[in-house]
This record gives sequence, C-alpha cells and structure tokens, in this order.
Amino acid sequence: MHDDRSVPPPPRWDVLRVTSFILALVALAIALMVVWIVFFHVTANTAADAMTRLTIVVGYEILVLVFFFGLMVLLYMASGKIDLSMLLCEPKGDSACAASMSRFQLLIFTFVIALSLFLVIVGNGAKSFPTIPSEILLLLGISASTYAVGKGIQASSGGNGTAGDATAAANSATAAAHGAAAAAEGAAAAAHGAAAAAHGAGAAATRAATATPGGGAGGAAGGAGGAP
Amino acid sequence: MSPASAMNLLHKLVVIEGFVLLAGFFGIVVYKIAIGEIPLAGLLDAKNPDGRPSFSPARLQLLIFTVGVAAYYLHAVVANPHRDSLPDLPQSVVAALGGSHAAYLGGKAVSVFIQPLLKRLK
Repeated sequence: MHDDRSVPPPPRWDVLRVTSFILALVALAIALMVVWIVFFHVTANTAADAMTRLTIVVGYEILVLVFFFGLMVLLYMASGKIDLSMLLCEPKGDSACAASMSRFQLLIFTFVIALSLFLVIVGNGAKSFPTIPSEILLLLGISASTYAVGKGIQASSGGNGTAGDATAAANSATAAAHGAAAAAEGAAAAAHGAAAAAHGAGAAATRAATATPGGGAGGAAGGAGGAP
Repeated sequence: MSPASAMNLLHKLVVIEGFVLLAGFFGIVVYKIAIGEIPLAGLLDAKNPDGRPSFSPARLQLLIFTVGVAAYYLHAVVANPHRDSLPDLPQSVVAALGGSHAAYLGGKAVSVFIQPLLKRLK
C-alpha cells in the first residue's frame, strides 16, 4: 500500500512567491536600465566624467536595492509571512499572550523618533545630518531600559521566563538602540552624500562650461572631487 | 540630461522612497493593531498574587505619559521641520517620563516580589 506521508509535498508557487520573483526581476531590469540611461543619456561631452557617472549610478543602484528589499519585507509583513501577532505580547498570569506596556511604549517612541528624524532630514533638504540632542538619547535609553528591566523582573519571578530571557532582552534592547542609531546615521549620511554629489556635479558642470576646451577635463575632475 | 539634474532627480526619489517605506511599515503595524491581529488585550492589566489579571493604575499613567510626550514631540517637529537638529526636549519632561517609568517598574516589582511575600506571611 502506498503511503502518501512519505512523499514530500511539491513546492508551492503561491502568489507571494511569484510576486517576489517578479519584483526581483523588475529590480534587476530597473538597475540595468539606470546604468544604460546614465551612460548613454547623461551629458558626457564635458563635465560628466567617469567618477561623476559612477557616483550617479551607485546612488540609483542603492535606491533601487533598498526600495525593493523594503517592498518585499512590507509584502511579507502584510501577508502574514512575517508574523507580527506577538509583537506586543508577553505571557502574563494564565494568559499565553497579553499586551505588554513596556513593549508598547518602546514601539511608540521608536515610531515617533524615526518619523521626526525623517521629517527633519527632508525639511532641511538633506544638507547635513541633524544633531540628536542628548535628551532624546536619554529618552530612548529610558524606554529601552524599561523594557529590559521589566523583562528581568518578569524572568526573576520564575513564572513566565528565565534569566536567560532577561539577559537576551537586555542584550537585544542595547543592540536595537545601537542598530537604530546606526541605521538612522546611515540613511542621513546617504542623503547627505547624494546632496554633496549633486553639488559636486553642479560645480563640475559650471567649471566645464567656463573652461577652455583644453581645461575641461581638469574642471570636471575637480567637480568629481567634490563628490564623496 | 545633465549630471546635476540626474542628482536632483535622485534626491527627490530618495525622499519619496523613504516616505513610502516608512509609511508602509507604520501603516501595516497600525492597521494590524486596529483589526486586532496585534492584540492589545491586557495592556492595562497586571497580575495579582493569585495569578489573576487586574487593572493597574501604574500602567495607565505610563500610557498617558508616553502618548503625551510622543504627541508633544511630534507637534514640535511638525511645527518647524526646517532645522538642523531634532528639537530639544525639556529636562523636566525627561525627568517626568523617567519618574513615570520608575513608577511602572516599581509597581511591577511590588506585585512580583512584595505582594507574594506579604501573602505568604499572612
């Protein structure tokens, strides 16, 4: 008699997987198209030397890469493949899942600071990375510490956690704070780099327009040097 | 297309992309909270010594302080986003928030450590 349980199920090509595959192809197509456009349609006669073109291409490639990575994570979150149902849950009493106030306040402050950082960067035209006041760092520290200490109290009560959980929570809170700060710095640095590169390219174009034919290459190189 | 215009276009696209991804992440979390897929049941409840959940004023005050400070800060940013730094938060507000968190953690510690001890002594 044939046992159906011994046969592994065939791979499922569900809608999400197909969508992810199509998105990856679209990202690749856009990335190649950007390279093609920059090398054939960005003015090449004077100012746009190799470094300027490379700066522009790398900027667009990072843009495409980050966007499609983010889009796929969003899709997986929206479809439930990345499970968010336990995002605010802690075991409490007899209940396996009760919303945790310490997790909720950490979520709110993370949202607010991320949104504020984005608004300020957009508001000042991405000219420089905004300074983060020490009070804000203190606020985030208080918020993350409350989560970690709450987890520690819960673990030490012996009912719903272990000391290992508490240590892991403390470590993850610290790592999350470091990671959030690094990500914010990275995003702002990228925006600042784009603005500086645009400034450098503009300066190169100006110099090239005013330079003699023999001095055009030097002006362009100077402009590219202004780009990070 | 000149290099400067290509970089200007890139700058605009970065802003749009940041907005789309940020709004997407926030939107999904808020939507899942609204439809109950991320449950908020028991948010204001603490565990009694006998293991049953009961209303906790310490959690309520923490919720009020958190929402209040978050709204205050967002308002400060939206009122003037054209600045070189994130807006300052007054030291008194930080101190009040720290006190609120301390009260929450103190209440939690009392309910976990002190109350069972008192119950055992009785």
